[in-house]
Parts: sequence; structure tokens; C-alpha cells
Amino acid sequence: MKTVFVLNLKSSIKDMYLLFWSILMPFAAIIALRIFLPSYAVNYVEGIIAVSVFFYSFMTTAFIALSQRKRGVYNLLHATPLPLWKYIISISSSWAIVAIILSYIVLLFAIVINQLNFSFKILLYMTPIILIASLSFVFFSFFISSLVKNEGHLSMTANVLMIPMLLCSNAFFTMEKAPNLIQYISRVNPFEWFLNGIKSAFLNNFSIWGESLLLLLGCLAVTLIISLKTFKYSDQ
Amino acid sequence: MKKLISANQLTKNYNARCVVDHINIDIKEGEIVAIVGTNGAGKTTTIGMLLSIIPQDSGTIEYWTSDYKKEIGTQLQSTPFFEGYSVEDNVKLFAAFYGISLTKNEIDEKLTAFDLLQVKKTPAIKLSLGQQKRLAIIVTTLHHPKLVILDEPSAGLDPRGQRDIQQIIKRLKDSRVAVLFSSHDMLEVMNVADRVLIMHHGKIMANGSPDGLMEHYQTQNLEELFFELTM
Repeated sequence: MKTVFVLNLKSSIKDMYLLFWSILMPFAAIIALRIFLPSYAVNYVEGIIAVSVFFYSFMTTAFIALSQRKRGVYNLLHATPLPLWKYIISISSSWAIVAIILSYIVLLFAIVINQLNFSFKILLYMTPIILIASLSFVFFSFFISSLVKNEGHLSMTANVLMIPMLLCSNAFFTMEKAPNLIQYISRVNPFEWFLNGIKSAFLNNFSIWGESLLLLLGCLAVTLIISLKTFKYSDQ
Repeated sequence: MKKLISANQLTKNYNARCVVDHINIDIKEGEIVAIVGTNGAGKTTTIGMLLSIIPQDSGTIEYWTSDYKKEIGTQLQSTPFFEGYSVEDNVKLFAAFYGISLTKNEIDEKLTAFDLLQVKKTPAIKLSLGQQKRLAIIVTTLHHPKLVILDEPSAGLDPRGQRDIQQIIKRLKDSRVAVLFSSHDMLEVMNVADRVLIMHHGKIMANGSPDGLMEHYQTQNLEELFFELTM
């Protein structure tokens, strides 16, 4: 498992999707907010970190999983004695580590640009939230990549799921004045749990942090089971 | 010779189309068995079922050991490799799938034996077809299997590449490794196979040594026999 983890980590770090979606886009957003909405820029840091991790863990990994399946690599994996759960956990863990590194890079950039006060406590509480959430999103991305036949379908399916998750959260708009239905959706939205976990790490609110962690752990168990049960080795 | 695989009455249908129709296959220790057939004859599906990557609709497959996946080496028709991984990393990764840890020297030795050392840092998916086939065979034999299954190992290769593959198969036989391979090339089959299975429309039309089959069917060569049986 260690070799699979290390090799996937090495390959993921060199990935250009990673650079674009998860580093350059958040950097651009942080700079744009600083220039055009300087008074709100600080409020959006948690949202930008959450979106960056969410995009990487969900979108990038779903495309990689689909591409490997279409190349027939999973068929070959199927012929080896490695149990599927070991493979999924090894590579998902390496992707989760990349997600944590990404969040640190984005946080560091936001701190420098917005001249924020920084405490190591933030990292300490943010890290387990990002680890659990990114693992859940990666497991879910395996499920999504198993549902679709090609990149076009994947792009549409991922957007159909991701955009409502983003919009029904407090990432960019407050849910306080949203209709009741949207508020209800936001309460059962894993992305909102993730966002709350990150915000509570910034605000030192440990009851919300603990609640978010527990909800995300539940999400992790469910998504792991779904990814294992629905994993598709080939298109046949 | 001990039987490694014994498949009985294997059948596979895709929708209403029967692609493998109640076939029986035995593979014995140390023998080289070739499956030949036209495109769509059911060779790849048969290989997929023997590797347990395609579930059969009916029939049984018995293996000589319960841990058979650890003892079988596999090369699929598409020679897939992990995207974003170099040649060296693909070798390490597949070794890990078989629970083996290779040192840098061991990897270099294997790559040198298959003339791939100079491309070890190249992404595996960027190799030429011949290099990919050779890499696939390295991956296939990393764990010292008792049986190697190769799906069209020489398809698309130039004559030199085809000869290399034939030599690799012969080397495997010398090491007492059984080989099951599919092919369209009758000369290759004649050169390396101990036994030939001719498939047509999902059925096995003939099963025997190349010389034995030619004698039985009174044909001059394997190609003539193939055309006779698959008309």
C-alpha cells in the first residue's frame, strides 16, 4: 500500500489539472477579491480554500479515475491479487495529502495578500477536516466516474452535483435569507459541513468543529462503501 | 504434467449474442498454448474469463491453487499502463500490486534485459508499441508466475518486434513457465506453440499440437487448416 501511495503522490503533484484548478484559480480569486472587494476579501478565505479542495478532490480525481478505466488499467489491476479496497484507500490517501498541501498553499497566499493574523492552531484544526472531507470527495468521485461513459458525461454529471452543493452553502452567499428549502438542503450538504469545519478552525469554535468532523466521518464511511460497491473495472 | 487451469463448458453472452459457447480448455504446467481465431472469435473474452476479469455466464474454471492471481502473469491486448507514471514507476507499481518490492538495481536489470533501460524515466504511455509490449511482458513476469497469459502479444509489431516476442515466449518455456497466448500469426504459432486451439464463432474447432492437427486434417500448413475450419 505504501508504494502505491508514494507513487500516486509523486504522479499527482506533477499533474497540470492540479496546478490550474486548485492553485492558480484560487490565487486569481484571492487577488481579485483583494483588488475589487477589499473589505470582504478576508471573509472569503475559508470559502476559497474549501472550493479549491473540493474541486481537486472531486473533479480532478474523477477525471483521472475515468481516464485510467478507459485505458484498461483497472482491468489489469483486477487480474492482480491486490484487493480493491487497498488500491482505493492507497491512492485516495495520496490525493487527500495533495489536497491538504493545496489548502496550505492557498492559505499561505491568502495570509500574505490580505496580511492576516496566522496561528498554527488554525492548521491543527483545519488539517483533519480537510483530510476527512477530501477523502470523502475522492471516494465519491470514484462513484461518479463509474456512472459515466466518457469525459463529456463526467463533466456534466460533476457540474450537476457540484454547483448545487456550492450554491446551497455559505461559501459565497449567506444562507440566512435563503428560502427554507435551500436552508434545509444546506444542512444536509457535505460541502457545507466541510466549510463549517474550516470556518470553525479559523474562529476557534470547537463545538461546530467537532460536529462537522463527526458529520464528515459519517460521510466518509458512506462514500467509501459506495465507491467499493460501484467500482467499475472496465466499460464492458 | 499437472493441470494449471481446467475450464469446463465456459459460456459468455453479450446481450443476445453468444461470444463464447460451451468451451473446454486445459492448460498444463510448462506448456505453450496458442489460441487462434478471427476477430470476434471470442479469444479475448475467453482470456478475460480465465483471468476472472470477465464473469462467465455458465461453466466452471478450476485453478491449481486458491491464490492463483499471485501465480498468473497477465498482458492484456491494449497493454494499458498508468497515465502520468514513468516506465520505472509502472514497474514499481505493478510489483506492489503483487506484493513485491524491487530495488533500483533489480528494476534496471529487468529493463536492461528487455532493452528499455534508456527509456526508464519516459512516461510509459509515450513508448512505442514495441516498447509497450516489452514493458507489458516485464510487468507480466515480475512476480515469477507459473502461468503467463498474453492477449495478442505481437499484434501490430514489426518483424523484429514479433521475433523478440517469440523469443521471450520461448525463454518463458525454458524457465518452465506455462504460456497461453492469442495470435493471428500462424507462423508465430507454428514456431512457439506446443498446442493450438482454433476458435470460431465462440466455439473451439480444433485442439492439438500444430503437427498433429495438420496430419489429422491433411493440410500442408496451419494457415490452410485455419481457413478450412473457419470458412
